[in-house]
Amino acid sequence: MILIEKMLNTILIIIVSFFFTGIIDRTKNKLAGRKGSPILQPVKELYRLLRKGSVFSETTSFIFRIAPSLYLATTLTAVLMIPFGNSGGLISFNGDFILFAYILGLGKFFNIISALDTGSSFEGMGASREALFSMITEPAFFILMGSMSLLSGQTSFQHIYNLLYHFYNLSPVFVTTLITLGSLILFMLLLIENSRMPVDDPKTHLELTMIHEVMILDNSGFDLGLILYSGFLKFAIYGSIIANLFMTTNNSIVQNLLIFFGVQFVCAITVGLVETFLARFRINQNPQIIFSVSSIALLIFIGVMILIGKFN
Amino acid sequence: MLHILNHSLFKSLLFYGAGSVYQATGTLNIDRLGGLIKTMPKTAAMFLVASLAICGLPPFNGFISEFLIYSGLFAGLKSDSFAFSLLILLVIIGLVMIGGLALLCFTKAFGIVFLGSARSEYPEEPKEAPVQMLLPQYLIAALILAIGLFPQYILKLLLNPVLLFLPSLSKNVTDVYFGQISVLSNVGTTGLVIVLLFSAIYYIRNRVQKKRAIEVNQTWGCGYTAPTPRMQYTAGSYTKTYSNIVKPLLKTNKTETEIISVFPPKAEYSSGVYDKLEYLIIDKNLKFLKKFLYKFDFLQNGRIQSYVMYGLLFIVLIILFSYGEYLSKFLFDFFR
Repeated sequence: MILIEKMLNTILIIIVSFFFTGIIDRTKNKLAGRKGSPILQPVKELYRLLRKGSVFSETTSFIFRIAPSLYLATTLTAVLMIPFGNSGGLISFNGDFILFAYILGLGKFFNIISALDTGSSFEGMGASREALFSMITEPAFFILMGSMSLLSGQTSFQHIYNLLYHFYNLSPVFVTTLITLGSLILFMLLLIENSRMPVDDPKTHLELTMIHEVMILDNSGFDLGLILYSGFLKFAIYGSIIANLFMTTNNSIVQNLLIFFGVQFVCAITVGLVETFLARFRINQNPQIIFSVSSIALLIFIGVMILIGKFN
Repeated sequence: MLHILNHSLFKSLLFYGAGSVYQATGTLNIDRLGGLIKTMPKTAAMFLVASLAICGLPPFNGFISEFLIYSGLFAGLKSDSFAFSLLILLVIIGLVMIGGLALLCFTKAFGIVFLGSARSEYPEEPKEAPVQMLLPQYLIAALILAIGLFPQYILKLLLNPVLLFLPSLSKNVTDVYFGQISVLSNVGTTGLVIVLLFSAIYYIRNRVQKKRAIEVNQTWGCGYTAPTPRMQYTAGSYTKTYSNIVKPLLKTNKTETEIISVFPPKAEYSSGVYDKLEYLIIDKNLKFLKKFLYKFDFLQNGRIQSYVMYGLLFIVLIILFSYGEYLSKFLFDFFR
């Protein structure tokens, strides 16, 4: 029974991952006044890719062939670590969010070197940008988790979330602000990590302007499918981290399920909205935007300090 | 302690790798290397393991010690004083940024040296390092993986040496230590999960791929049909966006001939990066010292006579100095 409870979030994330991108595309299509493709269209494309043969560049080595599988493996492991309401993920221990961030980093490392493996100048460029942006994104996540663990006195995903609402009676306004700002940061991270607008434009037509898309230019067939699916999963991962912020300890499972799907749905729609109404920022302005996310996180940290009376 | 041990492992592996590369190609400039993974795949794999470990990525040993440091820091966040908590937060941010920098740096090192295609002609075709050079590398890589996947055992071994250095550690600290050991076994298990998942996915992939048509073709050049290895990203271009951010700390030397006329002469462009801190702290002061010393330029005028005079003056000064006490007494008496 406990095992099923722990598996619950993994299963849910995998379910959501099939719909997330579809909903984003649907939102964009509707807002652009088009009829729009079916919500499961990305999944169909994924299936088509998985059945295709592939073309490998003659400059590539075994790195290029193992990287996509490893990318999916790391993303799946990260999925196992996300809690759901009261129950922790399959892998849950003190300090698991550090491991979470570093596992995603491992996948990114292989993605980057596989892009360099092709020897294409475009992909080198994409790799360089991705490495830089992920470097300056990480602090935001760590500051956010750090301040939440400071507040709750715990260092694992599950306990941090559980204890968050103990402070609700202490200062409802503060906890609400914390959750709002926290969701904002996590949503920005979702956009950056998944290379969506305003940091990166997944639908751009020119290789020079891409970041993530250009790195996978030479991948094809099954491997491309693996990378695409990891992208779907990443959406659902960040969505469910946000959703967890809203689940209180005394909710029933049904309530939590509603919150979970609701938050994921809202996230997907918001991504669609952002992509419709915003253009991509200039590449050399991106670091400033990403740094600003970290500074919001710092704001939360100071807030937590005030709340637990560190200033006295 | 563990971190020091780990560093000793992956640093030496990195240097072994660099040595093999140097021996095979005869150059240490990474902008001239590339594509070595095809001629020396074993060295490349070892270098990859070391790079992953030094970036502190799981499931390698670098992550274990980094994880311990992080848990210590997050525990320290709960301290009573505001200043201390803030300091710790800054340390965490610093560590995270260093982790990201290491990622940038080692994807660059590995990617430029071993991947892609060769950026210049090698004096001779590079060959895989001999077995004697590879053996110690295998050994170290095995240790790195062992610590990464089964950290709990290594940590138990390390307890006694640590207590030797810090006898003041009380009983409850060792309790915390054993708590960490159980946490770390979780980390190791997660590493195993990654390995398992990866092998499963890779196996399925190969099964599926076997039935499909696999082609080998040129890298997609965006429609350009005559790519050369010189068009690849180099180490400098890879870090360009990063160095733009830290521009205040760096001094870039560029030489460029502009294209002006209709039939331009051969255009050239080269750029190099120079550390500004090095310039400010070392080079500038050296310049001042040099300027100051040049004031005494007139002494070295090339005439034998004056050199003899310097010698004489020196001897007289030595004599005066050694009889200084006596002399001062004499003078003192004389003027009284």
